Amino acid sequence: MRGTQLGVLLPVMLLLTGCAQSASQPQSWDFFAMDTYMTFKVWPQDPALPERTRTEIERLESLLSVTRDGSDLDRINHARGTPVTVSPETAEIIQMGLSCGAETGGALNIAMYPVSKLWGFTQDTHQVPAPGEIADALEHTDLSRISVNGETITVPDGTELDLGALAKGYAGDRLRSVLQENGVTSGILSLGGNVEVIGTKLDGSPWRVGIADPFAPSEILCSVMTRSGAVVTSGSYQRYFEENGRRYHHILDPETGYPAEQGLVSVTVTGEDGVTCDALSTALFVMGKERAVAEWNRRQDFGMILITDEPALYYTEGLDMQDLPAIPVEVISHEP
Amino acid sequence: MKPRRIAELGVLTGIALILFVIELRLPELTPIPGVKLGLANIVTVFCVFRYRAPETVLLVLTRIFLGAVFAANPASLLYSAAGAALCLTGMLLVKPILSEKQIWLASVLGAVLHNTGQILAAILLMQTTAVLGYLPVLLFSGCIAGFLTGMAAQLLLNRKIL
Amino acid sequence: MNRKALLLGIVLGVIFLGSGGVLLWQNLHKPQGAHIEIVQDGKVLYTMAYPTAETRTFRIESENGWNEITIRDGSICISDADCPDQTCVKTGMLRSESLPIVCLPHKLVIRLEEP
Repeated sequence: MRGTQLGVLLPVMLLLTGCAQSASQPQSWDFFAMDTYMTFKVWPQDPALPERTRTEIERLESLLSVTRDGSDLDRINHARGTPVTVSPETAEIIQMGLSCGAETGGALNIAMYPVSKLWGFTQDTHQVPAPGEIADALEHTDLSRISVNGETITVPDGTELDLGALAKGYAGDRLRSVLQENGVTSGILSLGGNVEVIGTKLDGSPWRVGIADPFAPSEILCSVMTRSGAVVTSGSYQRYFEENGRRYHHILDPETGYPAEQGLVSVTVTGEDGVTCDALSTALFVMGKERAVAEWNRRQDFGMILITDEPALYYTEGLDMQDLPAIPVEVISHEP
Repeated sequence: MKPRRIAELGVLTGIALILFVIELRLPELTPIPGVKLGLANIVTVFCVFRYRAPETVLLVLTRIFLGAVFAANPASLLYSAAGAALCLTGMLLVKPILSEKQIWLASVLGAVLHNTGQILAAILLMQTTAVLGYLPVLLFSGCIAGFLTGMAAQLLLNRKIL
Repeated sequence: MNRKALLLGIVLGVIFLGSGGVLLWQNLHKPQGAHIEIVQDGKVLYTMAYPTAETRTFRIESENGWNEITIRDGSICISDADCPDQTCVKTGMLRSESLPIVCLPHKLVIRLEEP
């Protein structure tokens, strides 16, 4: 009797350990939101997490989406110069966008929506606008005329805001907080070009974040090792169209209203919070290599990887780079 | 209630709590929430078959409440209560049809119902049916755990000394 | 053994074997090795081993439009689509777990799963 009992129990226990192994694995899920494909891989498992992250994204989209009726941004953009009261979060992100714009000498401009609408990047109707149209639209992109007073935002009639350069970064930060509040101690989230990591991998080693090859976007050009933080890439390869043999990408230079052509094809920024990295990656792309290096030397609170059209790769000292490519690579050091 | 009965129930509650705390200290078999041996169930089964229903309910309620206090986990209270309510109802219902050699069956049923109750509580609390994915592993492990604790209780109940 | 107890035993036995069977089935159907998944709006349409030995071209239709999938040289790409942005076509051949091919307008994802 004892023998048979043990004979039954043993395979049963083995099967249980098998399941235990699957539960000790990270949990993965994905969905489409904020005009991008988001993937999650976290530990420990919790069946409620996918729904929680989805709800949070849904909440943020209802505030920050520029195309959704009734969102904070939509109300600001249709206020015709009257003050609009928004959620504290929207006000905070707008304030962040404005100060990053000021710090980068206007390389980041959250009021470029009238121009980007002409190019059709938000509506997927791509066309090269007439120079006169661009010049007219640029009239409405003056950051100094936007006022933020607590949660009251006032923009001049004709000016429209687009938080596309910060929204995904902010969303990544919020998702990271939500997961951590729910007990996640290890994880990696990818929101299109924005990657955020929590802690280390289960074996204690840092996360390997692949940087896409701008010349072959399905391949990894190199990797950067990182622990708890954000890695955000802005690249001209991410969204573009061709017309009459010329390529037009989605990162517009607020100075000219045309796609930024400063010799960069991809800018990756690493740092503590995703929203800063997101804003910086766009601004540095517009600034070009020389000004980007100067900005890095000035701030020194982030890491950066630049890929130029030469092609060549530059990265700031202190970054743990892996699998470096065969193209010329140079380390950017601090100015003495 | 006679003083002797009160004393017995008190001791049993104490034993149940000790078993519960010991199990908290043991390394987890798996990280799946809810998969555990449930040593305190030995005492519950013992009580179901030795005492009257109200006495058992009283003991289990006390055990659950103090258990949540000891584990410093008030959130677990609802899950345990939902599990215990189903588990106790089931065991009390099948008690009359089981012989002294079949007590372990009640324990297995109890364990299965306990885990079902927890899943139901999770569905209500988290507002998601995603937790149903855990049902197979919880039912399966519940059967094994219920069998082991049930056999332990059965051996105790069939000893004439106690 | 009385009837009711026997019935209870049978019910519990079915639960035990049933849940065990489900677990065993889940464990056996865990895909082994790297594989490609074609997923539309959360539903896995196709899976194949990676690298794959197949060579073929086919279309995936959705209510918003179609994508033409080409499988060759061990991997897979979206070779044509009627979506406005064409990002999925420009992405090229699937090569990395962290860079899936995504067609946003059609909610189509082709990804590499590595164990």
